[in-house]
Amino acid sequence: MAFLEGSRSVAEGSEPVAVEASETFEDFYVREFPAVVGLAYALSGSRSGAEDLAQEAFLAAHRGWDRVGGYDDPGVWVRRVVANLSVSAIRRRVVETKALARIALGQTPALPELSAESVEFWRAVRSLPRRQAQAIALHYLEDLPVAEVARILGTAEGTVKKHLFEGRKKVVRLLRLEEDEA
Amino acid sequence: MTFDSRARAAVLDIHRAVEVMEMTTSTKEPRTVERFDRFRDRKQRNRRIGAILVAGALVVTGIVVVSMNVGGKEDGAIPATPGALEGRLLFEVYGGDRSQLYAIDAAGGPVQDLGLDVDPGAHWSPDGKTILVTSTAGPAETALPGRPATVASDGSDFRLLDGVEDRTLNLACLVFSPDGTRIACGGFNDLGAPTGIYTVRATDGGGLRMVTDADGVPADYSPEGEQIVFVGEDPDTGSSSDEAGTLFVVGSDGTNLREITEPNAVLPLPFTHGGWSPDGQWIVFMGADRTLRLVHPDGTDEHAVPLDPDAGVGEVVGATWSPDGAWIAFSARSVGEEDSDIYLVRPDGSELQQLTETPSVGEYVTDWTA
Repeated sequence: MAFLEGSRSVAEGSEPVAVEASETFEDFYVREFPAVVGLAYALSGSRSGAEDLAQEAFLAAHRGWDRVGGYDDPGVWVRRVVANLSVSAIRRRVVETKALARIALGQTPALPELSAESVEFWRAVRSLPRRQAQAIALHYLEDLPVAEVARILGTAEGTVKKHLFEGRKKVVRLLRLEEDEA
Repeated sequence: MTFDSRARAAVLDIHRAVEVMEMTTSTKEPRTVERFDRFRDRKQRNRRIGAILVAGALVVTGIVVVSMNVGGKEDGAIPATPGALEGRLLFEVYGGDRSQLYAIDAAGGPVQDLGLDVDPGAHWSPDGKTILVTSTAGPAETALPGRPATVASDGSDFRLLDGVEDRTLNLACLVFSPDGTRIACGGFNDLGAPTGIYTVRATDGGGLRMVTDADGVPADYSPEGEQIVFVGEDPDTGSSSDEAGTLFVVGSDGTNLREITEPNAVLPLPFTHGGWSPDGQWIVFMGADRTLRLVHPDGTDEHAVPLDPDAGVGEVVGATWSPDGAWIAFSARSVGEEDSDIYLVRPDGSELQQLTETPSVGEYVTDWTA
């Protein structure tokens, strides 16, 4: 049976995980959920809506699991979906509003607030053009190599490098940070 | 500090937040698909809501008087003007991926399913002949960018008002001007970043005018149309959380922008933005503490509408004025219930009445037309 390099969870850092291509949706969900909800949180900035954005992506995967589960790496697919959902302004606002409606009725968001410095950093990232924001979040949150980010975004490695370079430059300017040494 | 060190700290903070989420839910929902199953069930449940309503579970044949008590305000402070329960209410039922739009007479009666999935905050036109919705209520191919749209009062005849050329500008349009010629909108770009408050022509959605570049979503026009009240973010303090905003008033021409509540005193939900009383004296809104509140447009005499504590009304979600200003319709969760119902009350807190009673369905009132 073919074993493939799977995607990474937050807890597991950047070490590749060997997974069977024919794994169940349940196993896939349990492994990938933390990383995907983290990505949604960073790209949406919504404490109340991030989990719903992640669940929306997994629901889409679940509905098409016969197809998605057969991909070389379903984790790439679900990250692409949540990255696009999280930066889709209208979609995000609708999800947030519905989540807020539940909060208004007494349900507390499960995600805690970030520190002020982190909120400022991710807000600066979200102010970037969509592809730059996605590239930075994917590259840094899971320590993904450029090639993996390119796979998720469905673009060339050179394009991702350009997004990372331009995005970092803008965030450095926005937050008045020091330039990193080359 | 360098970019890399700042990024590392921010990444660790996200990881910590996810770990906290997992720890706080692990006793009830160990790291299994149960959390996903619950999300899926909630979406399926909301599909069933439509069937429940259509089947007539929410047919209201008469309102229920909950309390005749006059609240704590002194007699005469806010006159309870006479007024029969007339006109028609719009309300939405939320959750998961469904936000369905319904109408009901203020005096009770059958619920009308308008057959629309809408974004929050649908409003009547001043003449009550059309309803303002967003482009997401129409065909998927016209949903983006965000634009205003109208439907007839029965939910038919969807019309996209796509008169703005800038495709990177999304408009969340929530309210007509009193003369019906303009529509007030909150603008945001493709990244969801707010760009300001705008108005467009009601006939075709064109004639874009920026009212202010403040971050906010419009709630209502003043009765003469010369001012707009909106919920936004205090420029000094920002929003303390997703659940806190601040009420502002600005001239429709962008002049005289002012904050009329304390920062973060308002729950910033589209259906709770509140509205301007027909006599121009009050703005109703929902406090961050989930109370029904009134404030003068100049920010004075801000107070909670005193609801009889024995009436069993819990957290308040959403409010709107009757066309004659004699009543406020609001949504609230009854104590012990998860889902909200619609109530009616005089502005002084007297004559509290319950319009809908549906333990399994949450109704959110958005507007009231004559």
